Amino acid sequence: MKWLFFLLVILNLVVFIWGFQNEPPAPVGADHPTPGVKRLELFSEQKSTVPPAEAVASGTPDEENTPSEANDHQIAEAGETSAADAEAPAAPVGESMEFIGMVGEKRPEPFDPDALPPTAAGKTEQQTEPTTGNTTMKAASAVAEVLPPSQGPAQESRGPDSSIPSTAVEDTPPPVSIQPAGEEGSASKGTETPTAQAESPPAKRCLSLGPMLDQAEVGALEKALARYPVDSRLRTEMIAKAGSGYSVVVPPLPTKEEALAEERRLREAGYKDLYRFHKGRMANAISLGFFSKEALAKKLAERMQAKGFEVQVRPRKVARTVYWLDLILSAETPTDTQLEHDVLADHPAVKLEHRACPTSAVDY
Amino acid sequence: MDLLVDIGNTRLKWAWRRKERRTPQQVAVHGGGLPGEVRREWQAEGPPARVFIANVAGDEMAAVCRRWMEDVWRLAPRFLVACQQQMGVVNAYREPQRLGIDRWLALIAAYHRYRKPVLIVDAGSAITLDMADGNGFHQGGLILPGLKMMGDALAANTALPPLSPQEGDGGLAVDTASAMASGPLQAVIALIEKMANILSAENASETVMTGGDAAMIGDRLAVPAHLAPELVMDGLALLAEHTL
Repeated sequence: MKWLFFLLVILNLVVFIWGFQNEPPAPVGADHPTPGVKRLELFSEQKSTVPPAEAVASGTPDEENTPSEANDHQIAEAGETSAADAEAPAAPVGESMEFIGMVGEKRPEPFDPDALPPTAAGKTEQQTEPTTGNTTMKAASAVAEVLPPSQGPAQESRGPDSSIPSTAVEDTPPPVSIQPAGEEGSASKGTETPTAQAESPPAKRCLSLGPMLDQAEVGALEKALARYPVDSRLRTEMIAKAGSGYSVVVPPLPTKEEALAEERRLREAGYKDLYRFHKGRMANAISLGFFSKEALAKKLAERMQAKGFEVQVRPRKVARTVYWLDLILSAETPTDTQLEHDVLADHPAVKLEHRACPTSAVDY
Repeated sequence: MDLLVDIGNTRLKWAWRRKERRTPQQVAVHGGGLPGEVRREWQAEGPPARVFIANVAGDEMAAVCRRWMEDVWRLAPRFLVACQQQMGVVNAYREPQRLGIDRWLALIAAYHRYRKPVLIVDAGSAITLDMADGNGFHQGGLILPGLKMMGDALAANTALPPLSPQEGDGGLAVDTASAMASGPLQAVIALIEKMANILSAENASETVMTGGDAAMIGDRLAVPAHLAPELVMDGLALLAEHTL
């Protein structure tokens, strides 16, 4: 019994030493170890971190992630709120209760164009703007960005205008003379506009919505999309649709020369009513006519095959143009589910297709 | 009112022409389609009486413009092509219609502006150089990759890192990134200066720079040059003015 007591004491000691060695050294109240998760603060701490004046300046509850001037500036520069989140002091008590509960996430906000990454809000006035995709801008301002300071005044008459009044009629800007490079060599370095190249661009994803048959459908879809910060581009696609009737054709030949030779041979054999395709999928094929009934087309084909011509009967297809909307949107919102629910619900024929984002807009 | 549209490989530029004057051109990256903001602006301003389009971005771009304008405005745009002779300028190409319409319009605009021998440099996704004498006779031209395309080709075909457009100022470089940026830039500068010197050897001439990289290149040239970012649009406006 005594030995058992001894053994228990030793075991307790071993467990204590083992536990002591593995205990994390962090004191109570240390930063949360998970990246992106906010530190839990007591209400009393929050009160002490935000002076009353700043709390008022932080504005609406929707701006609670960015209550300080420093953070406002950060957002204006970076065009996103994630940087501000990391060190944002807590908002006034009544609002911060909800915020603390969100563990590392921003509270869902209504669409605010001024808070968007590079979209119509015009956040990307630097060189990076054309590469973002949503890029309407005046050429004048684009030139002003790359001109060295010495050439600035020459562009001034065109630089500041940010919108053309719909009724205004303005003079075409005259060309600007460029002085030969010489002493201004150092000044020219100013053209290398420093941009936020060190920052990685915001994550994006790209998808296409379509096909749509007319502009009215595109317009309705875009109206539903307007609530989201998306960059859209309209493109058309030619699709072949089964039409009525059948055609008799010489299938596409490998070269134009061979098609020309075959056309000559057909004409010499008395087939004058024919058409040689010049481009496209049917380039170097020869059509010998359309028939509403398949039997008539087959009859001609058999007659020609008997004479040694290689022809086929094909169902007639008609070309049709459909619209697709190519979208570039942020990686997070709207999600596919949101799009399907909010945008595509009324357009059952419209599909959502993911596609690779363009690596670069080429332009700068 | 006319809508003038200049579609390059990367950017779509447009302007409105009212009563023989036009608005400054606006620019958007097209990405192979009609951007939403462009369509919205066109719908707000339009419909125009006529639409003139100079398109070098391919058939798909032409198709979406045509279809959209037919749908929204019930109007067929006019796609311009180069021809043998127009508005005092004579095309040197053996097959005149194969000369890029943007180059043709720039030649017309430059001829009407200077009435002198001109070297026109359009520095965009690709770089084109065209020369014309003082009587409007096109002498021919050159096409080479644009600065970014040159850098991309270098990065794609070697183990060198991707080119950053911010790197390099065109001088001799002391690091790889700057050297990759400066090489293409110096090559283009040297070519422009050579062609400008050939042109100016006999007569007074003008060098005109247009396109997205015009300012950056023009700023480093050792020959005088004019920066005319809207030269192609000027040509479009001239053509619209003289078209019934």
